[in-house]
Amino acid sequence: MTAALAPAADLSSGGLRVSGLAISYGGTPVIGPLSFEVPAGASVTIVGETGAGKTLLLRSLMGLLPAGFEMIGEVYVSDAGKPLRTAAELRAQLGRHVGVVLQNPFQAFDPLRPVGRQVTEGVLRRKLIGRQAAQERAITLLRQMGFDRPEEVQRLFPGQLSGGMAQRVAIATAVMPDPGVVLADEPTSALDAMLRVRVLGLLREFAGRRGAALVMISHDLSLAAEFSQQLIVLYSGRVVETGPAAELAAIPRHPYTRALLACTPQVSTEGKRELPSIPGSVPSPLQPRAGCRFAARCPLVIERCRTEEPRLRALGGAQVACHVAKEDGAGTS
Amino acid sequence: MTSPEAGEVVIAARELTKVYRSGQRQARALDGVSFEVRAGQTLAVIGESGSGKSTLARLITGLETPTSGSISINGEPARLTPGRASDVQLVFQDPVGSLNPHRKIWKSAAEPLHHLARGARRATVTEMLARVGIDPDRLGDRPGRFSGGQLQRIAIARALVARAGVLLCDEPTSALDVSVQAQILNLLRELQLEIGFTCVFVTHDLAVAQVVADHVLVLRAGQVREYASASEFFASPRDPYSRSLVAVASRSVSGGTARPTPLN
Repeated sequence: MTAALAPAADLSSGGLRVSGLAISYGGTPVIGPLSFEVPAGASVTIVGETGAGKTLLLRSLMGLLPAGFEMIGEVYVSDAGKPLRTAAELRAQLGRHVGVVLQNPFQAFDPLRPVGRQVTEGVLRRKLIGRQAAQERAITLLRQMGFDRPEEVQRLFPGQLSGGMAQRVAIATAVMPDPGVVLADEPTSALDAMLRVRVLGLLREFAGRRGAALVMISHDLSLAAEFSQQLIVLYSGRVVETGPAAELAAIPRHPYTRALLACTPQVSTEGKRELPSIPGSVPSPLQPRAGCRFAARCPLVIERCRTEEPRLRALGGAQVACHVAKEDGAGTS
Repeated sequence: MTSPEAGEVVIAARELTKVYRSGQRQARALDGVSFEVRAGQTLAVIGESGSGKSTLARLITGLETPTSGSISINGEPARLTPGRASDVQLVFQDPVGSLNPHRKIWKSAAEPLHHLARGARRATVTEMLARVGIDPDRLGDRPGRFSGGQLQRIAIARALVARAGVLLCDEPTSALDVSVQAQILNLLRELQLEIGFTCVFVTHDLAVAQVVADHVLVLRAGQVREYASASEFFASPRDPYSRSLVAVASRSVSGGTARPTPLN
């Protein structure tokens, strides 16, 4: 099963291509295989709940899989100019052609040193630019991140920053080397609602301005749909649906995508109410299982779902791994 | 304590102010906050980081006392009484951190029942844990063997096992996946209908607040920006800050609106 978002795009002006990426643990397939492309200036969000394998997938792109996990496949980072196949090759891109934004911004900083030095440290250590140029770039980026007085922010220690400030400084740090690819692991899950929108807007602006490819992971499908062009919905290590964000949000075709959207509360005209929910829990990607991994929780399950793993097939502009899904989203067999 | 009649005021805050002092510096965490919560109803306290939500929660539980003003539960000042389970019980944001990792879950859930004999404790806890959806065969397991959603169910069982009149939920679903969040919100709703507890639900998520609340209190920098019935608040928020919160939360799920800013 391979998730391909679109025909091969021209990545000569930047971007990222992932081909046949699969992760296994002790010989057991855990995630994928999947393939996708993110052209320069565009973004893709990998959406899923705990246990879907999102973080593992992102860590594989960083070359930082935990011990025991193995990866096959190929990652092409346009700026690196060659296909990257090993963890060491991928790790070598970090802080150079690939920037990383973590879920908890405070993990990105040494608590005992002012953040200003930490913003410029990576590019100076790698001798990518000189000290003066690094300082000027840091000021510019902090200003772009919404700080009116960046010099003052540089003097602060991490503990003096609020969560929103820390995440904005962390983004500035991640993009200091002017990376062509930014990998963001739930960059807003620790933030308030208004800050979430602001931080995602800043990431999107950077990607657009720089022509960088943005790969994010999120458990919030509705937020992801608003801030990405493409979505990949993961469930227990398998891609269940992928395609343009607008289309997935408007016509979710896989029963899981539909259920996930339905149980996400939205401000509406209804008041206090019961929410639709998905019974049960996500099976571990490590647990071998015949058939569709969502079958045990699916309201549309048929016998075939329990025995035959569905492959991705084109439905409208999306690809859906479901035996019963239909193009109009009705999803009855 | 006698149970309040439906519609009686259970929680009453009058001009509640809390000032923290450190040397010459002082921070006014809450400033003149007033509200009421009636029996069996839910007040959603909405605010961003630093708005005073947590301070208000500590005052309701009696963990702190107000600098001025008053907060009462069933007509008595909110305070902790040593040796007695409080009538205000808490469900925290982080279900992993709120349960002792070394204790069997039934023992953690039985903490508010320490005045009962072991057999009665176990029977009461077993019933409540079953009610929140925990398999009775797993009462002897420790927290590490449960998912986040299951741990939050156990925390809810612990909070309600002594029939507390007030449940204070501090962002109880913000660490959970949306499908698990829906399960927990539905569970709280069912239990409130069954047991009739009064609830204060602290959240920064307006959509979640709308699902659970009868009334809404919006805090910013320690002050009340709006206090209204949930239906009025979501239909026509009066305060500009509230309006901006509702506007952000009401963004339609249109998808694909994230067109990159054109290159400079």
